Amino acid sequence: MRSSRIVALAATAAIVMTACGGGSDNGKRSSAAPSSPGQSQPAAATPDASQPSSPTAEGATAASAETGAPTASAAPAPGQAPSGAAVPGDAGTKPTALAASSKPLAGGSSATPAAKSSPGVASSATPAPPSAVPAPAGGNGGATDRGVSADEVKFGGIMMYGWLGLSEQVWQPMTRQIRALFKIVNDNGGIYGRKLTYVDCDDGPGDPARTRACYKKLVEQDKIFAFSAGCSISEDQYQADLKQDQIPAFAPCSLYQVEWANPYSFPVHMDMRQEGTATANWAADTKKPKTYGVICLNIPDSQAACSRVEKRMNAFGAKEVFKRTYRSGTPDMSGDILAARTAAPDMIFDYAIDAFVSARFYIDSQQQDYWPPMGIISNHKTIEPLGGIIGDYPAKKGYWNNTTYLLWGPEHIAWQRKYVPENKGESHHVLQGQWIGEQAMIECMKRIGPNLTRVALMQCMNSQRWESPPGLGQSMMWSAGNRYSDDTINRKEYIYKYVSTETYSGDDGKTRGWIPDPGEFVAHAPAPEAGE
Amino acid sequence: MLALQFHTQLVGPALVLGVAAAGLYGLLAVSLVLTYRVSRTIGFVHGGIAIFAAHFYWWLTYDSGVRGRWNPSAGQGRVGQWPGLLVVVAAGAVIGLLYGLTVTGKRMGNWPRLNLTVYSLAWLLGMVAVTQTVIEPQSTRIPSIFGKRVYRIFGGVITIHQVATLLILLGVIAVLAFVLLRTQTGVNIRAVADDVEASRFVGVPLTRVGAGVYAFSAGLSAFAGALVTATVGMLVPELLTVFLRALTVCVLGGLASFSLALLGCVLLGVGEACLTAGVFGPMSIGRQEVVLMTALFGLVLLINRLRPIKVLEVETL
Repeated sequence: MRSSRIVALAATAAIVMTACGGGSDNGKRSSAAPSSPGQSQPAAATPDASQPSSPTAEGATAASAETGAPTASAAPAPGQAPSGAAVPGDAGTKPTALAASSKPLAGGSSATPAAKSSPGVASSATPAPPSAVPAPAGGNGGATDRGVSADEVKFGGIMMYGWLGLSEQVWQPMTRQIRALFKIVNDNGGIYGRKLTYVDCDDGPGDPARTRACYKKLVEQDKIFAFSAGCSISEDQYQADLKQDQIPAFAPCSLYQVEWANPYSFPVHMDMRQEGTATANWAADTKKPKTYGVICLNIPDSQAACSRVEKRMNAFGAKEVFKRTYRSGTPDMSGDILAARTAAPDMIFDYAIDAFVSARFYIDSQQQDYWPPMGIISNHKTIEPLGGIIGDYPAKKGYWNNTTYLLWGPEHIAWQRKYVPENKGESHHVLQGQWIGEQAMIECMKRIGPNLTRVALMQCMNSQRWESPPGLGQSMMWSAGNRYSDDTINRKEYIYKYVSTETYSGDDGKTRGWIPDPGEFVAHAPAPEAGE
Repeated sequence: MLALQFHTQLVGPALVLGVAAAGLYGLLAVSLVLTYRVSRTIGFVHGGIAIFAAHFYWWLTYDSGVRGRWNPSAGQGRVGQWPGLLVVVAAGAVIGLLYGLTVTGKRMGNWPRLNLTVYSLAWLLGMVAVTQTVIEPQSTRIPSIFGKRVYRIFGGVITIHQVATLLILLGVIAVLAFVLLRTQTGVNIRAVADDVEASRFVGVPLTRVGAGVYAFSAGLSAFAGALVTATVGMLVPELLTVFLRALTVCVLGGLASFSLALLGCVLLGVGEACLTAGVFGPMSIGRQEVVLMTALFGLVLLINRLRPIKVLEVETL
């Protein structure tokens, strides 16, 4: 009997330990393993990036030679913190002096698709890394806020390393990117003498319970200054906590509309619901289908995006004849393909943000030799490895993707090649956005001066419109009332046609697998109506 | 109100798809039935072996060690598909043998069946954890070992992979039927299945028989896991879904009948295909599951009425 009890206990322990593990980086890729809730806090380590060198001057614009950061207009004087103790995001922090609207880097306007000639703008210069700022003679003031000390500013992020085997292709690159950015700053002395550190927490497959545990750990145990980067399907779980705890989150994965509605969140790609409207507008303008189908995932924002598509297409006069809502992990879709063939929609809108649900649909479609006559447009499958996942059948039959940024951005790719070479072949739209958002955050930390506080940082981020380098073709504003401003990230995005499996970027930021849609490359969405 | 529709034009294709899908679950179902007949425990370990086999097969035949596999021309693999399959099956058999030796040995051989079932479940979870830790797959479908040909039958399109899997399943069942009925090994296995104590009394080598059955069934599970990568892919939740479905269909025959398990596979495949294809009109995923499982368990009750479960089995559990 005793031995049976021991075995039962051992089996139980095995079950519990197995359930708590899985999915996290084991330190192979970066030199620090991410923590999971309940584990002791590992020291945030710097990646093994080579010492960054000065950028070449060849072809560099003045702005990119200085910081490589997103450009800004009406910047506060260096060293001068934005004044006022207004709650971030309220009327007191409207963008200043934007009458002279922000000018993008030379080489193209963010409003002008650079790909009239070819995707991306060739650039022979690697964008300069964010520069460091030395500590003032009298000291930097020490602990000016929680998570800030005389020699450190601590950031944190929640990553779902365990989601669907995408850890290596999607999530690890984000962690490597922010660590590389921080390393560059730190190797040059930090910002006012403070080194930037990053702690990530693994919430497995985006398990809400683990997400919430990660949040508590980062905030209460690690005492971070702010969230940055991070990506989890359960990001919506802690938006209310961010507000309550007054902790900002910079450049999150930005999956949810609730993040755009949260003044403490600074998302970096289009609200999914707006994407639904934009692609429906594109379809109505270019394809003019009489019937359509939608594929959704069983999460609220995917459902809401599908509703937006339906609303716009119904207003256009098209009839919905096929709809499926999937969960992640759906094993077989051959029956659904049969149903789609029978329903015969002219085109299908794919808003199942899970790339593998979509891939399964496409692969089962190929097996069944089915494809809607006007093709499929899919939301945000712009990851470099996509071609290897879905094959060439969609290229032959008609497949489009909407994405927030131009593909792939020569400055972004050049920077990745130089400072995070392990990210080669693993770029994607969130990585692009986080690259911009994180650099804006670093830029603001320099401007604020040594008296770094959450409020000051948020005020700086809200103080202006931020332009990406022209190769990425976006701009964003986070201040209250401006998050859905015209010609910014929530109002326009790009439609690419998938033409081959070579969806990865060359060293010049160009790709052979995607071309700008010849019919309408820039898709627009109006600001959402009240209640939407 | 339940608005039931019936689209006759979808019935033929759905039937074809459903029968073809039966092979997806069938091989695992056979493993489960085989081990249950010998041990009277549910072989959760086979799920772990199948998942391990899927990942190991990917590592052997598809992964070239190149990170960031955005290059579609990569994927040369370390060995060819057929040698890889043999290696995977052998590895599965070895794992099954080790497992079988532990559960049929002197120490654990007399354990209560509930404990052994939990032990088997721990192996499943442990193998999943070890697999995911040691092998980092890039979630993808592996090309079928049988090629890319498709066949159009009654409006439904099935692949050569599905046809081959089904034929292999039928072949395995036929071979098992022959072995169980016509060979000394089969007699021994049936003896153990009927009465363990009596078998020991008459000199049946229990450990050898038990471990051998586990090794064979584990090899079969590994084979199933490798084949499933071409249809389902390699994501653990999806592989687990296939395994749990296979376990569910085994219930039809009380986990003891190959033929009823096969019938269960066909019924599940056809039912799934009909519901997802919309034969009865559009239906949400949740409702489809409710309908399927209700039908399945209704069938279990019906079969139990016609062929009651032995009292001995009930007392054992």
